[in-house]
Amino acid sequence: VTLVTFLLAGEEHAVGIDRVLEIVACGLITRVPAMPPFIRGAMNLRGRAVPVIDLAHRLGLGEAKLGRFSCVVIVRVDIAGEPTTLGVLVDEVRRLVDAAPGEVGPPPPLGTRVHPEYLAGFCARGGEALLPVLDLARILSTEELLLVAGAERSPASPEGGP
Amino acid sequence: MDSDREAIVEVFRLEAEENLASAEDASIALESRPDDAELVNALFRAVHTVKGAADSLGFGAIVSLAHAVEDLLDDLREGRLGVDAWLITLLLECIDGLRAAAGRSRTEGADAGSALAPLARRVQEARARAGSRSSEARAAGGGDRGQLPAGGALRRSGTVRVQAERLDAALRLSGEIAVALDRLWGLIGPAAPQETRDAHQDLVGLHRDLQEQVTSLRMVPVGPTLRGFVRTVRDVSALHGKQARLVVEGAEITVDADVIERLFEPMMHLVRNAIDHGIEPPDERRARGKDPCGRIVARARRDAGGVVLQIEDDGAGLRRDRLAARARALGLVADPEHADDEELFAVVFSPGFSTAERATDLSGRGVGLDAVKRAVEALRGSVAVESREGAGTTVSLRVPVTLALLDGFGVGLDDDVFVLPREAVRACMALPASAGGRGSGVVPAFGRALPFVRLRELFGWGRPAAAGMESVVVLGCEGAELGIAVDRLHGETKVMVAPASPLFRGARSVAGCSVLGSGRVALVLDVAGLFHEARRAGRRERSAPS
Repeated sequence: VTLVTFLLAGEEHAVGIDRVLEIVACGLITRVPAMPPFIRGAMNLRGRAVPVIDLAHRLGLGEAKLGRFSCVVIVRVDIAGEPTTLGVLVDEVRRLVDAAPGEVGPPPPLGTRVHPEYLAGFCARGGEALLPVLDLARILSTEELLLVAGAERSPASPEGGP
Repeated sequence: MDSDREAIVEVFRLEAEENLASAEDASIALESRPDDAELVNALFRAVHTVKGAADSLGFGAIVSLAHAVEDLLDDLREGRLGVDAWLITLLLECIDGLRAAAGRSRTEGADAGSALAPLARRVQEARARAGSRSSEARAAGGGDRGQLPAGGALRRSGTVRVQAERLDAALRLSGEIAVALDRLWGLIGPAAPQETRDAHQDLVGLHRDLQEQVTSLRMVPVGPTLRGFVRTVRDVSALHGKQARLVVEGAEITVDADVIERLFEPMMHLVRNAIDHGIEPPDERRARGKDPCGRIVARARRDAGGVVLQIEDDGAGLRRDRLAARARALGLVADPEHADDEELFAVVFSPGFSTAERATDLSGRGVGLDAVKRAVEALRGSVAVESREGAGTTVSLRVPVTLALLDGFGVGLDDDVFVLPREAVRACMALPASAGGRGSGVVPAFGRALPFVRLRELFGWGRPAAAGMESVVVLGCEGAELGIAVDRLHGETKVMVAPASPLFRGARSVAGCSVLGSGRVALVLDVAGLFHEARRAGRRERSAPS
């Protein structure tokens, strides 16, 4: 399997390349009202408005700060049965890793920084640190996204947001 | 089935659909104009065309039924049979049968029509009762086209069928050209020779025209869909022993093809409901001094950039006392006896209400109206009911503008740009410094105090703006007016609206997205949604202890 790796909150994470449509530089993101904080807004992808999700925030690793290496990984998922293009904001895209099937193992049930539910496994290659492989389908599983979007949809306080 | 044949069968299906639709229209018209020979001819041509095409593909059962219908029409033409409600119903059943068989022809081939035999038999029986003889002379097949009455069936209408996805693809490509043009401009730059800049400018102009053309292709008039309910009104009122006729208003209003498709079932449901629960039986109507024949209006109109579709009846109306009792029993409204109409009538759309309604067979509306509400909300729209006891009920489905070139008005909050439909903007003004830096309030406008809210606060975003720097846009929707305070006014702009991602469905006030010339995404706001959010925020503010 080929993995794309990127930095999230200072650490390298990976996803399978089969999910990735393309990777683009992070452009201007327009805020969208009534969205949970991990939905950053919408960006222009060749004339189309694509939602951008703050992956670090979604995984509980804290809000991503936009920097000069910030990238958006474009993926396609089903939302309520409709195939939908989403952008996933990451701090920096690092490299491609060709992992042999034996090199990717199941996630340990404990001791991971990211909730094991969101991990597809770990990639272990000789001489390298363990590389967590994220289960994007699960993280962006849309019942969950929409559910969170509904639950966190807080009423606007007179003072405004946080 | 090989792909060539599959393509031919698909063409057959589409043409049959079209012909049967006109046959249906003619049948319904025939009921009120039984002596109109041209209607019978039109019916004949339509059915005959279907028969010929079915024969060439070997769909024997369809041919047999179409042939039987032709015989029946012949009897009509020759005066051997008279037009009555029963005959029209039989004709319509045959048309439905042919339509269903044609629809299945692609998957089931020649077997598609196997269920048609009983219908064909009934047609023959009807003819036998009227004492007519079968015209064996007109054998199945296309050889007798020369005998067809002259008419439009063979004329080309000058239209082309296109799959919706191909239109979408064209639209997307057109959008990408816009971006490529911007990139090109970045390379050429304002320092380029005049000729180069002129050539670029020509391209930009041509592209804008192209984009307008492509966009308008997706827009269809609502007329044919609304007129389709004529049949529903006829069938359902006959079923319930009632009389009703349909009036269509605003047939020329155009909406996105997808919107009208998705609202077809909900509107059909409302039409059924209007007859089933709204229109009274003829005797009762006469006793109340009404025309025994009920009137149902299917209406379309534009409002504040969106489209409102209404189904109106002049029937019995909703009964407040019964609604209140039901709402109380189900705990849907806190104080139903004192609730206003809007709040009380809204309960008919709650899921629990429908079930209870069905169980107790109360007269009134309700069954499945929650499904109507869900369908409209999936399009980011809203539903509303107005009713007067004894006078009738109107249900309005309001959908925001979806995919279209919108005459917009841009406003800014920080660096973000939002686009409002131009036709909803009544006025603009500077927000007086006396309004303070936060909270809602009133500003003088049109000689009265106009309430305003701050868009920033409605959206729950960040710090208050510097006092005296804000502007107010006055918006009008459904007869109400509201001021929206923003940081900046960008003025009039023409934008392409695309549907917002399903992920943004929770944002009630967002109608769609648009990419501006600068490359920035702008949200297109739904005025009705904004009003709704503002009212909610107002209620919260009043109820919050401060």
